[in-house]
Amino acid sequence: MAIRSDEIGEILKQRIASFEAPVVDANEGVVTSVSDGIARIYGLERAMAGELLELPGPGGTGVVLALALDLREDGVGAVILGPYEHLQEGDWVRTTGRIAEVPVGDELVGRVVSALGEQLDDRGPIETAQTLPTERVAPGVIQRQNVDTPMQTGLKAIDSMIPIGRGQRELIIGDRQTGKTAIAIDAIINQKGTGVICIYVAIGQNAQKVAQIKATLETHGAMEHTIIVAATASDPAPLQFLAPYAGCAMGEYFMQKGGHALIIYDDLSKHADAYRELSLLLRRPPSREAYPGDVFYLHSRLLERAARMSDEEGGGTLTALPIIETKANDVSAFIPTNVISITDGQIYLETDLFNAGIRPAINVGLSVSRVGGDAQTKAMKQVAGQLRLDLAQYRELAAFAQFAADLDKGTRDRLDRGQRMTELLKQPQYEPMPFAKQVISIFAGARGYLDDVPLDRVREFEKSLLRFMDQTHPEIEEEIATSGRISDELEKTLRAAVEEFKKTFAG
Amino acid sequence: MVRASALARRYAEAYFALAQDGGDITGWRDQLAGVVEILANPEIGEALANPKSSLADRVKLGLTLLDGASVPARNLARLLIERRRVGAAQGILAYYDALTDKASGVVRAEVITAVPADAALDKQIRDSLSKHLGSDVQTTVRTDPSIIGGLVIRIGDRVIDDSLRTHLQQLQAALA
Repeated sequence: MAIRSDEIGEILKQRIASFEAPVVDANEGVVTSVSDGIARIYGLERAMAGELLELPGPGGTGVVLALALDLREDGVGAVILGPYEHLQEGDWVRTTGRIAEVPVGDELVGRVVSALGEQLDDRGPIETAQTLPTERVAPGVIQRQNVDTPMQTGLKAIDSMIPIGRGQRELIIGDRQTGKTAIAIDAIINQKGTGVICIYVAIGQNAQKVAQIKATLETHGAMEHTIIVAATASDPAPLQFLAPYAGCAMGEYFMQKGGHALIIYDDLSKHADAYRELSLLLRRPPSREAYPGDVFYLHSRLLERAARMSDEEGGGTLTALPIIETKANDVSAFIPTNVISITDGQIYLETDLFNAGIRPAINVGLSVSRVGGDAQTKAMKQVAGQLRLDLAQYRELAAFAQFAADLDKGTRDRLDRGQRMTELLKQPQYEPMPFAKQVISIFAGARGYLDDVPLDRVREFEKSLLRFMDQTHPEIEEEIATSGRISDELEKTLRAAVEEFKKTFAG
Repeated sequence: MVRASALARRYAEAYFALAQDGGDITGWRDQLAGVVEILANPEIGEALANPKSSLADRVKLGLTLLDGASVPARNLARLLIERRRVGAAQGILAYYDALTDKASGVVRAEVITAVPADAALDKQIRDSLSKHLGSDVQTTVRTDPSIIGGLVIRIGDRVIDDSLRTHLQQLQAALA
């Protein structure tokens, strides 16, 4: 679109006409030292904790923002949220009277923004009507209600056995390269058309990966309901520290409106590292693994802001999927144990499973969801109960059976069933499955229709079955989706349909 | 601007409390100013901090230099030398002045104008500030053409900035 010069003139005229130049009335101090992104400031006696400060910008124009984190008797320690190489001893610092805040609103959806809510993509400046402080107290007990609506991830292994509810905090934990982000991305893609706004917060990741995620989401049409908040590895530590809180504030906006939001923190290990860096530079005493004493509160206050509001408060939800990267499967390190204890369950991913071709590489035995069954559709509960049992028995026997030469039939059957179920739970990336299809697929396995299918043909069976159901019995899928349960009658129809399909598949 | 560290404030508060009890705040200030002037001399400061000579010698040197000062002022100097805090001397004086102003309800404001202010303008600024802050305001007026126009008023670490330079910067930011 070509812009005519008189249009620009008109815009400028409007801007100038509506421009107000308020008299600045602020607290002023001077910089006494600047090092590694931390400024020590003399004066500013009335600065507030977490207040935004203004410092002169590079080249003498504009301002650089800083965050007052350390208030002392003879000065303030502030982390600089931008370039700091140009700052000198003696530079002025002014208070702004504002606590760190970010723009929030529907305008952000589909955009890539920084931890301060500034645009990082090429779609022009973002103008929102509202801002919210990044640090807020989580909703209290009275304002909340029980989590009981499922948050479908579209992954069979999760939705069937580790169900996540809207308003829950479910940790995704595992070593590097185990598919943690992949689960989160699938969950985002699966929210398409559900009205759930997704916020992907990238903390300390390389910009390349963020660009790739954006491209993936665009390819799957999922960027239309997603906000990406990016504080990449090259951003200063203060921005990496701020990013999750900024993303959370953006999500809270939708929750307060009575809407639903899903936020992914990828990942909180790097967030803790950024905070450790800041704390050490602010000379706070280090504790275990050199993290500061309040690193638990750092994450607990963030994750506590995920909630399901009561109906009086609009009934909105904010679901959080924090990600933690472990080193060599060590879940008993400091940060993993902290976050495990804060969240309502964890999805535990393992390198061994990943390499064995089980993807998503979820260790079903160690993964739990503490909200669990409440947040599961009845139909899924009906089929998943058997699935869980089959897999538990399989795990128990599998280790044992390695040493046994010949096994009795019962044991062999259980092993076969377990293997087929494991195979059934495999799912390729970026292919989240609607809930009704998941139910049909698990139904076939749990009711034993897979037992005589060769192991290497299980996935082919599943695929053909779902296609067959789509073509010849679309009403079954529809009924599961609308009623959310499998009635006795439906069970009969479903069995008949699966049996009908098996006749065609065998050959 | 001399910065009063947290440490200097402690000494200043103690000395000021004694001065208030003594009932002669200006007199004690003059004594303190005399002591600070000597202690702030770099060569004397170095000599008083030199660990090559014994502490007793240094205290003696200090007291000899301050011969003639009042007893409390000399005692303060002695404490500073003994505790190796001679460097805080100027901060003590600065904070002593601040405490004096606070106790007497005087507010000191620095007014920066782009063009030299005449007596009438000065008075007008002083009066409106006194009214606004509800205390006796004393102003020192300084001219700084770089603010282009308008006024900048500094009261302690509070800044009231109505300069043209700042407004132009605001306009620039709004149009960016």
